[in-house]
Amino acid sequence: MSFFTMQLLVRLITSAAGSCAFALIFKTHRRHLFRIGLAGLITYFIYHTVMYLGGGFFVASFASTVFAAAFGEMCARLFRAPALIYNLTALIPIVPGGEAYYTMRYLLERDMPRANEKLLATIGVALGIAGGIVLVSLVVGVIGDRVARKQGGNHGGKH
Amino acid sequence: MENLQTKNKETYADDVLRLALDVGEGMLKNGGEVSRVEDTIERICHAYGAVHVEVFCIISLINASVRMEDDTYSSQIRRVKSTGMNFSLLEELNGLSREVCRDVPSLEYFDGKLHELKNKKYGSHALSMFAWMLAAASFAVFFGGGFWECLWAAIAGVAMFCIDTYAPRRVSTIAKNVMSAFVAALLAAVSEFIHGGEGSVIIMGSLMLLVPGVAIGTAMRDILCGELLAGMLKLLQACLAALMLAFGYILAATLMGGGAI
Repeated sequence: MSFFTMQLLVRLITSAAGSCAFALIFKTHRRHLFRIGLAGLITYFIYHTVMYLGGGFFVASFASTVFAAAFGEMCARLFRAPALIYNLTALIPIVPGGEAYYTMRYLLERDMPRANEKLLATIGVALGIAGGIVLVSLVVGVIGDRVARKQGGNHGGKH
Repeated sequence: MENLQTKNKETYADDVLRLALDVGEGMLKNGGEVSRVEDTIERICHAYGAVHVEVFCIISLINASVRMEDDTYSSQIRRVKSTGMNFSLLEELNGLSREVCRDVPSLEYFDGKLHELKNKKYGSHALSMFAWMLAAASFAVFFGGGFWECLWAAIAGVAMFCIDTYAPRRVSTIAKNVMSAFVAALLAAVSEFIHGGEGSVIIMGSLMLLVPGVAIGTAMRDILCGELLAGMLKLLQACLAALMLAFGYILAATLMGGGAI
C-alpha cells in the first residue's frame, strides 16, 4: 500500500479544517486559526506515518501528541496565548472519540470481541496522548526552571 | 509596589483575593486548566503583597486563602457549576493576569478591566453554527464520506448546535447528548435510505462534536500528573458521555427498524 494516497490527502485537508472548526467552536481568536490548522494537519500526518510504519496506536498517538504539545508550547510563548488553545485543537484529529463511542455501542450490543478491540484502541490512543502531554510538560518545566534560574526571577512555566 | 492603592486596610486582603478569584473562576468557567487557575491566583495574590497563599482547585470548586504582610487574612471559595469553552476570553484573562502581575495597578483599575472583559461579546451564533457544521462535515469526510455524507453531516452539525444552544437550561448535558446522538443517527439513516452508501460516517463525524475523546486525553493527563481528583472526574464525565451517545444511537437504530446503519 503506497504512502501518498488520496485518502491521506483528504484526511490532511479535513484535519486542518476540523481543527480550525473546533477552534472556532471554542471561540478562539482569528489570529490563531492558521497555525491551529497547520498543527492539526501535521499532527495527523505524524500519526498516519507512524501507523503506516507499523507503530501501533500508542506509539502513533504518543509521537503526534509530542509534536502537537511542543508546537503548542512554542506558539504559546511566541504569541502570548495559553498553550491549551493549540494543544486541544491540534489533537482533535487523533482523539479517540469515535473509538470510545464504538466501545460503548458494542458493549450495549453485547458484541464483546469488537468492544474489546475498540476499547484497546481507545485506551491505547488516550494513554499515548496523555503520555505525550506529560513528556512535553516535563521538558518545558525543566527548561523553564533553567531559564528562570539564569534570570533569577520568579519561576518560569506558564503565564 | 509604590503605585498600590490600599484604600481600605481592613478589606484589602478580601478585595485582592476576590479579584484574583474572579480571574481564576473566569478561566475555569471558560476552559482553563486547573493548574493554570491555581498558578494564576497565586501569582496575582503574591503580586499584591500576599505573604502566604493557598489555593485548591478542582473543576467545580476553587478554595483559596491569603495572608497579607500585616496578618490580615481572607478565605473565599467559588463554586463553578458549568464550564464552557471560550478561548478568546481565556486568552484575555491570561493577558490581564500577566499585566496585573507585571504592573500591579490599583484595585479599581483591575476591577474595571475585569468588568470590561466579562461584558464583552465573543463571536456570534452564526459563526458558532458554521463552526459546528464545518466540524461535522470535515470529520464525516475524514472518516471516508462522500459528497452526500458531507452534506447530511453538515445538517446534523447544525441540528446539534441548535440542541446545544437553544435547549432550556434545566435539560442536562446528558439528555442533550442523547438527543444529539439520536438526531445524528436519524439523519444518517435517512441519508443511507436516500443515497445508499455508508451512513455511519455521518454519525462519526457528528460525534466528534460531542467529543468525549478530548476529555479522555486530558483526564488521563491529569491523572498521570498526580491530580487524581480532577482527572477521575473528567474521565467519568467522558465515559458517561460516550455511553449516552451509544444509547442515543441505539434508540434511533431501533426506531428505524434496527440494522438501518
